[in-house]
Amino acid sequence: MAEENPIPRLLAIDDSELIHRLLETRLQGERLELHGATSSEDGLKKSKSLKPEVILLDIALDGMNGFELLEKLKEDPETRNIAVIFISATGEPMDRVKGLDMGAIDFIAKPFDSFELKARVRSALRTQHLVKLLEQRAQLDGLTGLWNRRYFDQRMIQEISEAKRHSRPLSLVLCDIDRFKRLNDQFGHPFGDLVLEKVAQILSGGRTSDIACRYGGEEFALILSSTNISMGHEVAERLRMAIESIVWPGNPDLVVTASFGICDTQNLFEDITPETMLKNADSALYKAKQSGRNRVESARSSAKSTPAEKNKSSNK
Amino acid sequence: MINEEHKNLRTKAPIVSDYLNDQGMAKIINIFLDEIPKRIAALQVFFNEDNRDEFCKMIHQLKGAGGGYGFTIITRTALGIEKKLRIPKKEWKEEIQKNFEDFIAILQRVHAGKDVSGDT
Repeated sequence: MAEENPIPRLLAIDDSELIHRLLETRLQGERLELHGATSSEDGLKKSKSLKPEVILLDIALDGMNGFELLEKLKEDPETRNIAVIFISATGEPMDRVKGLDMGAIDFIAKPFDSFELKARVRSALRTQHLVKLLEQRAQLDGLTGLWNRRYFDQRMIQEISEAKRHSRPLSLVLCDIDRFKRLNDQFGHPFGDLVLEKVAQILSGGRTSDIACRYGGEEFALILSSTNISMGHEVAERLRMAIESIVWPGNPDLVVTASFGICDTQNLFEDITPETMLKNADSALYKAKQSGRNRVESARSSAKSTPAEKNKSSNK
Repeated sequence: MINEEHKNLRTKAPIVSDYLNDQGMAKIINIFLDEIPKRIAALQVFFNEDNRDEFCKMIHQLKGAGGGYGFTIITRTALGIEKKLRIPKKEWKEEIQKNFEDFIAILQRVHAGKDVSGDT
């Protein structure tokens, strides 16, 4: 679940080429990718497309000044968490106060000392890194390490929006461990936790693009981008078989199974929302449970269901 | 002190960058020096054409950048002009005439410093 540590991006928004050259020279050797914009409009555009970790923002810009640009950045959920450092030749203390009160994290006076500049940029990058870690931690499930329900809700909105924009398919899989309460009662809650952890490992070990979340209790959700229902059905079926094949320490004859319900965006037309998709996937999951568990059912009638045929003793 | 500084501004001695020995800065300092005649010409056009906005903008940019290139005297002199320009006056040119002349003289001395430091 841990994300890679890419080279941080820094966007300098300043109308002076002299300053851009200076920053390029003075920040050479720092672990960062420097981008530049010479107008506030270009700066705003690049802030949205690049999503830099840090912005160095001049105050005296033509058109929108630095304060107005910061206001725009803070209004937009996509850019509001970017760390903004004002870098300005203004000698007015009230400008510094105003910038910091508006949400800038620091202020560098021009002309700047190169060591101070680097130290302040490094400090901002460190803070940003920690903020991101905290944000990520708040979106992870403590037991399984999967994304939690809060993240799932946000991500579904994003994925549906992307699917609509690019006219590409999107599938949603709901997975529920069969007779989980019985497992807890029979083997104890620590074993129940182990089952949740193992199932989570399998669900997160599939395709790298799949987004595995703990939806709640013993229920999991998988968001499958650019995946239609038949491809999604194959993915779910592989996961179902993998769960069924887990050998449990201390209980080698035990078979834990899970049921899956899947739906995709096809036939939903303009009615594609997280709610409709969840409703459809949940109906398919219900069908899987009603049909004997340990199977994958699709919301579309054309998709085939796959009953489990195993000789091992089952927990069903 | 003020008199001494004023006297120094009036000399023609070339001015070299504080970062003369900073190899990493050599390239951009040379570009900065090469562009000085162009900036002097632009400032004079803005001044003569009463284009206060563009004049202020360039003075502000040179104030912000000068020290970064090792020419604190540019920052300091530009600041003096900027302070006078803060109060909107119709006769702004008369108000800063003297400071502007000093500033141009400084830019010329900085440009002349290129021959002293050598084109690396």
